[in-house]
Amino acid sequence: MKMTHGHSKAGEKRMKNRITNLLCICLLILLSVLMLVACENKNSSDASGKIRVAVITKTTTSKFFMIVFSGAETAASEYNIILTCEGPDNENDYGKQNELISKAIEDKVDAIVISAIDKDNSTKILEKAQKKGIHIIVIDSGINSDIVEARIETDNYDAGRKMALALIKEENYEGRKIGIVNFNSDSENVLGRESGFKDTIEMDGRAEIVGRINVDSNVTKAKNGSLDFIDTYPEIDTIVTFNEWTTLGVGYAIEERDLQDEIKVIGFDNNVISVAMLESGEIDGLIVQNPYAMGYLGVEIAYQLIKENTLVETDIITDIMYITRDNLYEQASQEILFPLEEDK
Amino acid sequence: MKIKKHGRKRIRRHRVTISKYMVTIIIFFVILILVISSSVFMSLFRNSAYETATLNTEQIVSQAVGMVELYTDSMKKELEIMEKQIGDYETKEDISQYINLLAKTSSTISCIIIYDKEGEIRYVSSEDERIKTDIKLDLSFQPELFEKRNYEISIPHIENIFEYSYTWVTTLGVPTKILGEDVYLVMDMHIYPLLNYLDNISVGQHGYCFIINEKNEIVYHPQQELIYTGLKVEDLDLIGGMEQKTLREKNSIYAKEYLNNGEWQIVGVSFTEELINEQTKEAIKLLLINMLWCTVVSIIITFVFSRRISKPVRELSDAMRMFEKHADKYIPRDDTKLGIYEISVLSESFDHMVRKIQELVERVKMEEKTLRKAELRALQTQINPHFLYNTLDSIQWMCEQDKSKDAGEMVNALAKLFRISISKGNELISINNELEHAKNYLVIQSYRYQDRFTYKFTSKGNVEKYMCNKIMLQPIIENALLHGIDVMEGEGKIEIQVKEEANSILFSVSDNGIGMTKEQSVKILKHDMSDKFGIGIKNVNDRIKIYFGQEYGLSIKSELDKGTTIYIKIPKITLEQYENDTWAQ
Repeated sequence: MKMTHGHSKAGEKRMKNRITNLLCICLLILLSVLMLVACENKNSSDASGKIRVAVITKTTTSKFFMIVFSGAETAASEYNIILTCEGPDNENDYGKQNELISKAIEDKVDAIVISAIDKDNSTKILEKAQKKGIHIIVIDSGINSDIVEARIETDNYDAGRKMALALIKEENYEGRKIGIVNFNSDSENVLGRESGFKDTIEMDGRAEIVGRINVDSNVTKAKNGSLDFIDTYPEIDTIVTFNEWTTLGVGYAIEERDLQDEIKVIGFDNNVISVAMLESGEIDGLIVQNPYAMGYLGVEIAYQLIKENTLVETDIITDIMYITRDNLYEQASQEILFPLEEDK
Repeated sequence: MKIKKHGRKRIRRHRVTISKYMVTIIIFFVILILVISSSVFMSLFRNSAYETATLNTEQIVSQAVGMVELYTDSMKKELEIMEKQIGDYETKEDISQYINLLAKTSSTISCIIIYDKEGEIRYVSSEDERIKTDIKLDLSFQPELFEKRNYEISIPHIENIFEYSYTWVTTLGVPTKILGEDVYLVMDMHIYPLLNYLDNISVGQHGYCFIINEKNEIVYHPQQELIYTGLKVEDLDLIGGMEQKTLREKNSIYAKEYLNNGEWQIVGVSFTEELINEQTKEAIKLLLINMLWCTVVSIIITFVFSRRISKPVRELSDAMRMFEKHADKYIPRDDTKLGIYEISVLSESFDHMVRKIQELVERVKMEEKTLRKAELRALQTQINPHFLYNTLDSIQWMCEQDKSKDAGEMVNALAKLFRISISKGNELISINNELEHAKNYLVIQSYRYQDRFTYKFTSKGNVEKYMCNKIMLQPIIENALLHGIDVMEGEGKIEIQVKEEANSILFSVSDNGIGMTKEQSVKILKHDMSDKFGIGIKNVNDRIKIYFGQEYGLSIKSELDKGTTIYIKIPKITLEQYENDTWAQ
């Protein structure tokens, strides 16, 4: 009787030992499996469909945005992203732009890279997009809202300042009569450029801004507006203008009136025609931005935001360059003025 | 007989079983060996992966060199043929026609230009494009390059001789003579064929090749736009400073090789992340899986084997523990044939030892019993002659006094007394018999003491069925008479009581004699009494204790001049139990 009791006690103990041992083994296996799973997870890239990014610009016709698209496409192919590049035909048409944003929301894109026509009128719809988890990245021209996660743009105020400084540096600067041809816009960047320019000129004080007009952002209207402007203010010897189309408009006006030597023109952005005008003298200086970088970085940062990379740089100022007839064919100017993409 | 328990307590928690010990050690070593060997393997693997990646990059650069040379050679050849052909033409129209045709039919040629020594354009192949009237700086006119006569290709530049056309080209030219005039024959070539070549050469997934010139400037890069717009920067100082053909950096491997023009170099870049680190990751994953399996298998194996070893040991140790607890009831095991030799030997020896010890214990027990019986008998007989003499003396005295009736009664009592004393020679008798014995004794003694005392028997509870030691009360009554009643004055009283208690029977013999001191009462039980009467009490106490254990026996309560009570405590044992011997202590 007593013997069996003793045995069963020892047996219990043995059972206990066995259970603890088994538990240990189970734990070990579990640990290793977890380790493997962790490894697996780290390596696996998103199998669940590609990332979709929509690039919506002010227009699709300008050279500037074409290069933006080409930069965006390069980044998209590098990061394996499905990319759509769209914009209204007319650079004033924010309604159309809002439609494109709605369409992007419907398409359930992961990020919208936008260059806003109007800094206020697209805010609502972009906020709606943001609520649906779409990342908002601004290039070139921003909006009045804090939903923007990243900005890639030219320092527009600084661009205006550089235009002014380019003038100030010249020998016969004193007493110049300056005219400003800007375009009708509520876009952030154009306003920034003009105030940067004005502030610098006024601070220097040796030259005066005689007059300014606003024209529509297309070549014909800009040209007609410029002609009127030249006629209204015959004393003007310097014209400054702040976008691709108005630059061409002013250039054509100068060509028509044959005032290449009389009026100095400083424009903004570049295309084949404005570069030709720079060569032939209608235009004397161009501020050139880096649209390729904007497009590329816009999409790259969208990718990083989607991947929740915490090291994303969210405010990027892209380079600008002041091009004149003299430095037009320097290697650096060639590289930034003439995009390679279209040769292919 | 009892085996004494040892006072020490076992501290089992700090002990480790053999199987646990073995499992732990073996797992530890397995893991240690696995970790060491896999880290050695990994470092070897990484090294060789590095070697392979470097070699791979080098080979791809060589391939790229071959391809680019093929391209430049074909351009060179084209220019040579052109140079030869053009020298043969005699009219301007022929020359113009020839270069137009050539430019049109070749997809790589952007245009063919013939400059005079001053850089004025003499001929140019063009379809619809208009040549600018006033070219301030013609980027295609590079006389220093042409004068080298080694058909060197210029770095990419914009072709700026046509209106509204700015194409990236690279220029190749040679001085020659047409129609008796010294001119430069110049070919502008599109750069994208060469870029496409480079683009198609990939090292790994993201690796690439690019071309630098003797000034360590980038000439062609598959990501030319990124380079031009400043989004991508190559560490040209690092590459320029390379003394060997290859260079290993933290994240990348560079390899470079000169083209046969002796001025351009092709640089290959591959990324260790994708070439090596990913492979390493794969290898680590595999290793981990293998390590896991090895560990699991080794755990299982050691578990099984250690159990095989430890099981008999544990059984042996359990058996030993068992033996330690209940030595006399331990039954040796017989299953020691299986298992490990040493352990089975140990086990057999243990069993042998156990049997020996049990034999010895048994023998000691037996011997002790016999010894005790002899002792008891000796003690019992000790009383008898003395008492017998006194009684017979009394009877003789009675006979002399003609008290034959009394003498008859006394003889009767004595006979009964002896009858009980000699009954079967058993140690235990029924309580009734014992009381009878005591009564007979008192009858005899009351004659002797001439009724100087009275006595009384009482019993409480159902005590008749139990047994008690033979001649247990008589020595105590004798003691009461001799030491209590005999020396006192007045009438003595002796009361004998039997009481059934929960687990025992309690006898008490009290007198109203002179009593004794504490020292005396202790002495009585301790044998230190030299007095012949004292032997009786000690004898009773010893017999009870030997027979039933330490918790039974005599106790004395006494007060001087008031009297003494002696208690006897014995267990409850029925006749049946006694006869079947099942009343073990």
